[in-house]
Amino acid sequence: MHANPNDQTLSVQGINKRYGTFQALNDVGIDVKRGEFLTLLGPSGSGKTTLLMSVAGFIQPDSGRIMLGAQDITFAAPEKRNFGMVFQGYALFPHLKVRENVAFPLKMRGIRGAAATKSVAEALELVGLADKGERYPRELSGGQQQRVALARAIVFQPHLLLLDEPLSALDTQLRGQLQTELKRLHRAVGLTFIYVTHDQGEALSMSDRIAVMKDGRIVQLGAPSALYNRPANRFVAEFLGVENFLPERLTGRQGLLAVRASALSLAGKAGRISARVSDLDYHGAEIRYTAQTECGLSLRFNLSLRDAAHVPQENENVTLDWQEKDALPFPAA
Amino acid sequence: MRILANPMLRYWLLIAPALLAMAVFYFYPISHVLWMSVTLPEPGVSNFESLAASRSVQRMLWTTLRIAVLSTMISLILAYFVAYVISTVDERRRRLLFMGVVISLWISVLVRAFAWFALLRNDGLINQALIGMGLIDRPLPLMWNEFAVLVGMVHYMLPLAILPLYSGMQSIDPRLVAAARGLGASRMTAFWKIWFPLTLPGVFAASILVFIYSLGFYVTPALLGGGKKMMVAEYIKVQILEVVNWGLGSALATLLLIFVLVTLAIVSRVVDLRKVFGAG
Amino acid sequence: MEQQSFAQDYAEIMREQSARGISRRAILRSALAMGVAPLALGAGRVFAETRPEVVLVNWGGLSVEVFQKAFADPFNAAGGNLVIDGSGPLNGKILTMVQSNAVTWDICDAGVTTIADLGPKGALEQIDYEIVDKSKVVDGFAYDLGVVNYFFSSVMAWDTSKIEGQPSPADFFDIEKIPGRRMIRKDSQAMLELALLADGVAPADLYPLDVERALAKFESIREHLLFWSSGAESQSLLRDGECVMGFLWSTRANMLKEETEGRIDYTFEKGLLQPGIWVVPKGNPAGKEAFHAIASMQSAAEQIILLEQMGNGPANPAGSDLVPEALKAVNPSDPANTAVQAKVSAEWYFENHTAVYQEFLDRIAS
Repeated sequence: MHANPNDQTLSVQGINKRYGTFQALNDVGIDVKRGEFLTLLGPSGSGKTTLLMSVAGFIQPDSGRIMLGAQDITFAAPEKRNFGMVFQGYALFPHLKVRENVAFPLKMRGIRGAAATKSVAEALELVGLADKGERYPRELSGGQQQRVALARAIVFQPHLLLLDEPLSALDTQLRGQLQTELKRLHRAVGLTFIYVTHDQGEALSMSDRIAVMKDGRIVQLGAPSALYNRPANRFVAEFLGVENFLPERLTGRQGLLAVRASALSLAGKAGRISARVSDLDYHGAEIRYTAQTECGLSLRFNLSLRDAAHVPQENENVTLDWQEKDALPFPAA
Repeated sequence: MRILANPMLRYWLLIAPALLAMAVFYFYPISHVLWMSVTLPEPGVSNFESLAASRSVQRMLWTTLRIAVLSTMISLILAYFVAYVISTVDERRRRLLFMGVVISLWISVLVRAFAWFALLRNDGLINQALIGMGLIDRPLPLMWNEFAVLVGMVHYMLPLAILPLYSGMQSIDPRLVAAARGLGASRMTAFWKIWFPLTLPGVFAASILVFIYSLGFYVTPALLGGGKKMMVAEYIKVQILEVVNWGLGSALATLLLIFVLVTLAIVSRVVDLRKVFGAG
Repeated sequence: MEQQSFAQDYAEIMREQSARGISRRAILRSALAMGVAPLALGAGRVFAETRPEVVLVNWGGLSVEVFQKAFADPFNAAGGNLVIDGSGPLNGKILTMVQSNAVTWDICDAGVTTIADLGPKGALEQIDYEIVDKSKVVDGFAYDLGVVNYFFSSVMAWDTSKIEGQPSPADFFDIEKIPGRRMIRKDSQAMLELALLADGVAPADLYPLDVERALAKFESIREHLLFWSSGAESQSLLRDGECVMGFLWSTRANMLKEETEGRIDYTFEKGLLQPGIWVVPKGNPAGKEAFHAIASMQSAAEQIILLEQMGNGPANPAGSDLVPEALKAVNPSDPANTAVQAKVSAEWYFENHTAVYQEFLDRIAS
């Protein structure tokens, strides 16, 4: 047993990984804080999974170091790192019962008998599957399998829990439910989580910090609110769901101005932009519009039915405006 | 056409030709063989009595069983390595290796036997090479014995063992082994605790296939064994086509059939394949 | 390996020779004979219902063509309708036909053991010697259920590069004198006789065979024995030096002698002369017409064609005089060769073959 598994912090220092001409990781460095929920967010091919697999020990970086406390673990075998891991698609052992799956990491550490039985029961209890120990994985639903994978990854009190897009195979509703549970679990066990996803909603709702990745680099690292409010560049802004990027021509100021659809509103005659409605969608009490400016720029804006005096229809000309506090300036490129 | 509206009937109509063909070309001849074994030359179990009494039949059955078991075991071990490599290498190499396996299926058993003859005989490549290198003075007895028979049998059986093993291994999620290692298992432990148990259905399928195939094999043993390793299939053929002792021949065929069925029954009892697959 | 009969083997020899390029026309004609001729003749029968069609079954390949030329062409020119079918009359196949009342064959190219195995099961017709001429058969080879159609021999051959001088048949069983492997056919017929002759039994005293003594001879050298099943196998075992001596068919021995330019030699001495035999399956479709066809094939001149093409000795004693001088040495039934050989006793085989063959397989070749 490990007296205090979170004593040591993980530090990734300047690692590179190249596959032929493809630079999967490009001078990536990050210090993971104790007990934090860190999310690696990025589109596919951005290097987030490569980074996670380097930390897990399945991929060896070409250069750079990975430190756990004072220990260099860059080339340590995966089984020596004592990290818990939840794989995409769960990777439960189909020939072992749920109980045996969860006991597997304990067995590998020589923990057997009553101690093991107790830990397994606790872990299953924690994920709400106390009564499913004698089942085989294929007898469980997707969500239940996901919970088994979690129980198996935390039962041996690892230094770290690594999660590789664990919710991507689930439907939207179940995903939301499991996000809540993961957060609860994170608080309950106090472990450091490193979580990989390409879903910005997931990242924003769960993480303590998010590292946004692109082309093998970390382009921005920060708390969700910081990222949301002050994206470092257009890529991050776009990835976090900013819909509109207004050019100099429309704003009269240098560079681009990022404005969310929710911050762009109908403005009567005084608006700074004129556009023609090309499409509208009802989403409950809200209408989502797409409109085209004269120069062919496509803009998105939302209208709350409650506040609306007038509901513009397709092909209607509208004027739009925004408040400076909701707008984020970027350099042009 | 109204009749065809009934889906059950359509289903039966669809499979009727196949069922009929099975009945006519498979079950009828087999039941005929069973019938002959207890009616020729006179009704009764005299054929089985003479089988039980004949030392040479017992020796021949023992030879058959020994060769079948040995070649099954050796084939399985070698095929396991090959299948493992095929299922883990990259796509281009996989295609190449796979082609090698499949192509060898198309080479006639006679051609293969003569190829081994060219390699193993006294003046063959292997003996010449060993003598040429000064490792041995006189040729090793590689040919005309059980060693040669096993070499030839294993060579023939390898693709038959590789294919079910490979198809089993291919269906295993490669992340499982990674997961096991991430959870603290060494390379060896991950192999033995996770990979190997998951390949067991393929191992049993391959064993059964190769074993049953081996039991009915006689071309290779006859050619490479110098005519000295008579297997049960050759014995049956002699009884049926040459000395026309159909009663004895079909009794032996019946024995072989029963043995195969019993083997299958035992295997399916000892190994719950569904459990291996995780169906509980 | 299919146990191969002598008749099958000479069919194969023909294939091999043609493969070496004897005659492209011959192959073409053979294809015609095998594929088209039966159809053409069969069709002819519908239009001109004169005499019934007689189907003669042999072991396939170019022997179909040789039989066509030697036997069918003359018979058909005289108004008959003889068709050669190369599908191979295995004992088991003949019996299946007879027992299921679906006989489609009239004459089968067989051996002594066919009569031994099928005769007791009532699967063969009596030969009608009113039609078939006994005087055109070498004495003692006209049986109730079959009649000789040609002769062949089982002889001893050896590798002159490994053995000095001509070994005696007794040396075959003397491993100390001549070390090395021997090969025999995986069959009791002829092998037992050759063993007894080598052991000093006089040809006249050969039958009834002392099976026990013969088997004991083979058992004494069992670990040095290989067993061949096909003629080609016997040829390759000697050619490739896997065996120093062997018992094999004279046709193969002769081919070995030619292709190795004398390295492999053989002798008819203490060999065994055996007949190839026509048998007629019980209830054959052409009835008595089959015997007319057999009678037609007794022509010595026709039988010489077989000797020329395949090395089979003529069954008609008149044939010996027609054999060209150059072929006499290889003719199994040449008087000079028959004088040093024993003759197989078909009668003994009728009584004993099934059991003795089984015993041979059980004790020696398995």
